[in-house]
Amino acid sequence: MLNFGGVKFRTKLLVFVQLSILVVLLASVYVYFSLQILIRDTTVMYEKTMELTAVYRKMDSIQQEIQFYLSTNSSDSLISFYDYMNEIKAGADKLIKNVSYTPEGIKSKNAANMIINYLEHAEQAIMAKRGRDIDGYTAYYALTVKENNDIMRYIEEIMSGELISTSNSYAAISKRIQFATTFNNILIIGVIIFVSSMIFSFSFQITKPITKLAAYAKRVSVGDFDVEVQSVTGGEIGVLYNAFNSMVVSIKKFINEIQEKARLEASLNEQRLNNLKMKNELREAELLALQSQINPHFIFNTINIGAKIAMLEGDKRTCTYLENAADIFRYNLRGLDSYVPLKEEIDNVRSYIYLLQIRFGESVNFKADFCEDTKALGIIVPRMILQPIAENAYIHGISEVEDGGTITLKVRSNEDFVYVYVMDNGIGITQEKINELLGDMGDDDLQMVLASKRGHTTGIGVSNVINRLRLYYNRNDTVDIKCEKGLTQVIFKLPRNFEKGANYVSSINS
Amino acid sequence: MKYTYSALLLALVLLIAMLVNLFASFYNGDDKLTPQGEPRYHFILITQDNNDPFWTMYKNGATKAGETKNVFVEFVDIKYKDAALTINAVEMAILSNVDGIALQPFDVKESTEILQKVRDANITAITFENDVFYIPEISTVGSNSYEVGFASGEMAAAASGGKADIAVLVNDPGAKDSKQYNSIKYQGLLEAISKYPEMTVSQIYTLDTRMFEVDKLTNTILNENPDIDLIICSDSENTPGVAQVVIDSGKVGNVKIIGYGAMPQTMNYIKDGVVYGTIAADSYSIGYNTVIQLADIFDGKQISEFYNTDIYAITSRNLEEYREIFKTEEK
Repeated sequence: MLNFGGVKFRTKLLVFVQLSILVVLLASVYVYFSLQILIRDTTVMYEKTMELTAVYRKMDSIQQEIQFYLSTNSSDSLISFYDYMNEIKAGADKLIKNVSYTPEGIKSKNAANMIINYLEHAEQAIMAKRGRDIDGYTAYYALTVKENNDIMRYIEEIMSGELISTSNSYAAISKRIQFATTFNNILIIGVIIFVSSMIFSFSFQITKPITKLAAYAKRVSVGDFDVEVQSVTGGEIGVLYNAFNSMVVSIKKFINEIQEKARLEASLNEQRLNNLKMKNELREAELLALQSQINPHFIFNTINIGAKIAMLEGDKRTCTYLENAADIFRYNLRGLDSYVPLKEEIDNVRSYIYLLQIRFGESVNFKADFCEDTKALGIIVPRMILQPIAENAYIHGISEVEDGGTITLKVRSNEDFVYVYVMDNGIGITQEKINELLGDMGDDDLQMVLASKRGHTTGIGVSNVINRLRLYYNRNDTVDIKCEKGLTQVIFKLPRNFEKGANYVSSINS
Repeated sequence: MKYTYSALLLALVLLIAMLVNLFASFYNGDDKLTPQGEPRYHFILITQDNNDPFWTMYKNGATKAGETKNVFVEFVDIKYKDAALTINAVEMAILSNVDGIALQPFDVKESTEILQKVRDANITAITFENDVFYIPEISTVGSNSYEVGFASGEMAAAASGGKADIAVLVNDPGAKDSKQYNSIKYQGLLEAISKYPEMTVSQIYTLDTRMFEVDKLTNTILNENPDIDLIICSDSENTPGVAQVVIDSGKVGNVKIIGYGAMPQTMNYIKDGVVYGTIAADSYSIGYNTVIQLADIFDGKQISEFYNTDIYAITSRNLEEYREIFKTEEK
């Protein structure tokens, strides 16, 4: 069997319509020819008798003319006799010419021959009359009368026979008409049923996959891209399905791409946020530093002048105090964005502790323990990293102890790192606090810094220092805090060969 | 879908077949109207239109011969064997300019006259199933009357065991000299029974076929001559009539019947034992040879004046065989 699945609907429809038309056409041709045959049969039937009927009518008239002529000698009737004779003879000749050798057909020929013989006798009667042969014409006249009767009876017989066979063939013809009519009715009904059922079938064939496709499209429209479109083989619907399928695949792909992009953008934003946070951290530190230095230049100048006055007055002790204070202010004024050698940081711590010692007397002791590696003190580090730790050691460590304590600054080094220890023997620090300080920097750290006490501080918190160092060196182990046997240590692990300063600054400013 | 197309294709094939059929009938119809070749001659055979199988067989034979000789054979039926009807039919045939006429003579005088008329019109004539009237220069085809009589006699002897009072029924020949008619058949009969001294022909009855008087005549025979125990019929249409009267008068077995012709009723009576047997002419052969002889005359062949055909003696012994023959030949 042929496979119609892959055939286009257009082809299907064309073939279907043309086949239907052909069926109807052939049916019409059938009906047409049936009718033609009926008409032909009927025509033949009547034609046969028509000629005979024409002759039959004239036979009656010619006999009257003969009688009239024989009794009146009228030339009019003679003329009409010859007219009739010619007409009848022509008819008879035609009958003989068209003879068909059947039991019925031969009778027409017989009749025609009889008529011709009769006409001869009639003419002889007329001739005898004209020749005044009374005996002759009466004899011929009697003969024509008899023959005329015989012939007319014969024709009547033929016609009645014809009528009988006609009614027989009429029965056959009407049977055929009935058959043709029934056939046509059945055919018309059949074609109507067939065509309508086909139209139904076609419309279902077209609408069903489309409805299905619409359902798929609905699912896709609510975001379900995992629809499995059953493929339809061939045809326009097949094309539509394939197009829909590839559309779904493309949409799926685009959406995936967009999602990927969004994810990338999100991570980028996160990074930016981190940068921003770092910047904030610095700004915060700067702000806090500035807040604590209300017009630091003025204070610095004032203190400096104070120191000069003390030196002129010969008060060496006051002069030293004020010089140390001025150093701290100056160091603070240089801003956090700059980088300094480790030695300057350590000097700053010395100045700060000197101030503390003058202020609190014997309760604060200071020890410095430096290694012999002098180069170690030359490495570049971010500013203001040691002083806040020392400050913290005093405020949270030693100041809480009644007898005071010692703050020790120790520097050690190896090939890669310089280790700076800020130690105190104060009240100590809990492990929770250590974990909190060493944990990831976040909003909480900022809050903690803001909430811290302000009275004795330069304003920069421990966590700010830790975060700055971590961001600067990009490593987490750069600061460690330990508290063992009443000794609290903050250990800085500073890489020796680190040249990141410039990059770091530019990244922060961006 | 494929079923749909199959249905359409089926409808198409069906329609095409119907159309072809229609065209075939269309052209066949045409064939009927065109004469299938001009026949050489046109013969008219004067026949009868009744239920005697003689005529059916006769026409079959004549038609077959017409086809063989390429001659158109026309049958002009008359109601019964009658002089006036025959003469009129022959006159019409003469007027129709036919080439040949065959007829069964009805008597000597009028038959001779009408045959003379036929000859005057330059038409060839022949008679059939006639050896009773000698008509000069007219050939005849049919069974030999002497043989028919002889066969009847022999059958009568067989039926009666050689001892019978016989009544013979003959048709009225319609002419004065019935002697000639009777004599030949009768001679045959007498010749056949002459060997049996105890068989005698008591009386010969003549019967006018047109008068339907066979009932009356048979009753008369049976009443007037109670001695008669065998009736010989010489007419096919009368035989069943005689048999019916014998049945009605309760004389089946007492009065034996020898019939003539092969009418279906006669055959049934033979089967029932009412009629002992019948003598039948080979009518197919008669019809066939009538046309052959006529055609031979036209073809310039010399033909004999008498063409004798066979006769059949049918009794209950060979009844089925003859029924078969008549049936097959009827086709």
